Amino acid sequence: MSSSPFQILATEAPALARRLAEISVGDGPALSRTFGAIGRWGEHGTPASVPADLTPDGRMTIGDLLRAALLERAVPGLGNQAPAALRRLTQTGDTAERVIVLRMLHRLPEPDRFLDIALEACRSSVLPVFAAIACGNPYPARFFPAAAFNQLIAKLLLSDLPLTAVIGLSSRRTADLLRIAEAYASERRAAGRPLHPDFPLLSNTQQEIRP
Amino acid sequence: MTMFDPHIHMTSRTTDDYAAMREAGITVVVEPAFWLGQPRTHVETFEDYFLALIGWERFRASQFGIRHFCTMGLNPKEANSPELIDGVLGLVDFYAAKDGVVAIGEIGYDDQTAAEDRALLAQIEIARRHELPILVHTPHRDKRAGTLRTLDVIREAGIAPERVLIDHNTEETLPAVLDSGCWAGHSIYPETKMDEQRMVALVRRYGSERIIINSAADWGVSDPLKVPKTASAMRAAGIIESEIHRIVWENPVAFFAQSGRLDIAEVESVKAVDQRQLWEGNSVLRGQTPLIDA
Repeated sequence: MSSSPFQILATEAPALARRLAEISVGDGPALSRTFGAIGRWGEHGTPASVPADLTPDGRMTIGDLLRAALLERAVPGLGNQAPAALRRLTQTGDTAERVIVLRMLHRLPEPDRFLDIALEACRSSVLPVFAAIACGNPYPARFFPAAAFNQLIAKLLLSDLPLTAVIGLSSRRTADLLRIAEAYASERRAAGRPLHPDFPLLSNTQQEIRP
Repeated sequence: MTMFDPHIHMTSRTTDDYAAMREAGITVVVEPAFWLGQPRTHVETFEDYFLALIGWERFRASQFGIRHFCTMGLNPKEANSPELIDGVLGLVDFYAAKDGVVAIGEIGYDDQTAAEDRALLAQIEIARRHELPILVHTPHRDKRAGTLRTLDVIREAGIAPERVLIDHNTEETLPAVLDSGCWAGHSIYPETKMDEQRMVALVRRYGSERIIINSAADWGVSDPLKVPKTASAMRAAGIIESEIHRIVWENPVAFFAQSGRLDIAEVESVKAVDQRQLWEGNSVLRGQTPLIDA
C-alpha cells in the first residue's frame, strides 16, 4: 500500500501533523466531533502528492488529508466500536466527510467489518458518495459479495462514471454480471437510448469469465 | 378530460405544481410513501412523514381542487437498513388503517437483497390484513430479472393479481406483467424510465386494459404534468378518446377503488376549492386572495 495519510501530512504540512498527533480522540462521539471540525484546521491548498485510492481525481484538499490521517490514527484505538463509529460518521457527515470515510475503509484494520457502510454508500443517490466507493477504490472487489458487486456495476452503467475506474473488475466478471450487463443493454436498445461508453468491457466474451 | 396521477410524490413539489396540475385536468393523485433522497436514520422520522401524507399534504392538495390519497410502505431502498425495518413495518401496519390510504406501497426490490425479500413479504401480509391492494416498485438495475422475481413472490404469496399494480414498466417488463394478470404502471419521465412516444407505442401494441401511467414526479428532475402530456401525445397519435380515458382515469380509479376507501362517485364529482380553510391553523396562502369556488 502507498504512503499513509499521516506520513503525507507530516511531509506536506508538518505543523498540522504535529497538532493532529497531540490530540486524543477517545471514543466514537469524540471522533465525530473532531472529524467534522478538523477539515478547517489547515489552509485550503491541495497536497502535492496523494495516493490514487484516496483521490482518483486528484481533488483532495489538505482538509481531506487531515480527515484521512485522523481516521488512520483514531480507528485502531476504537477496537470493536469502530464499525458503529464509522457508521455514525457516514450517517451524520456532509458529502466531503462521507467520501473520506469511504476511501479510507480498505486502509483501516479489519476492513471487512465495514462492509455494511460500503454497501450503504452504493445505495446513495449522491454521486460523489457512490463514486467514492465505486471508482478507484479497491474495497468492493476485495470485500463485496457477488450480488452487491454486480449491483454496483449495474448502477455505474446508469451513471456517467467510467467503468474503467472500477478496481478489480476483471477479477469479478462472473456469468451473472455479464447477464445483468446484457439485460441492461437490451433494455437501453428497446428504449432507443445509448449504451454506457465503457459497456464493451462487460460484453467482451474473449476475456475469462468466472463461474 | 379529468385525469388521475396515481404515482406522484407531492410532498416534494410546490403549490405552483398543484395549480398547474389542476389547470391541466388532474383531479386525483395517489402519493406513495417512498424515500427522501437519502436514508432516514430514525424510525420516528418515518412516522412524521406518514402523518404528513395523511394530514398536511392531503389538505394542501384540497386547496387546489385535487383529491389526495396515499399508500403506506417501507420503500425497498430503506428496507436495507436493519435497525429500521421492524419499527417501520409496525408503523406501516398502524397507518395502513387510516382513511385515504388506498394501498400498501411502494414496496418491492431495489438491490434485490434478502432484506428486501423480507420487507416485501411482510408488507404483502400487511396488505392482506388491511384488505388493501399493493403498489410495487420495480428496480432500476437488472430490471427485468427483478420484475420476474417480484411476480414470482406475488404468485407464491397467493395475493390476487388484480390487486397488484406493478410500476415503472418498460418494453421489456410489460408483457410478463400483463400475462401475470397484474396491473401495469408506467412512469413517464423526462429522461429515464418511460417517455411519451414510447408509451404511445406500447398502447398501440398492447391496448389499454390494465395499463396505467403516472408522472412519478418527486424531488428530482421530473414533470408533474406528464400524465396530461402523455394523454396529448396519445391523442396526437390517433389513439381514441375512450382508450385514453381508460388509461388516465378509469384504470387507476378501478384499481385503487379495490381498497374500499376511494369512492368512485365522489372522485368523479368536482372538488370545490375554498382557500379560506386552515390546517391546524396554517394556510397555503401567503397574503394572496383566497380562491373560493361558488
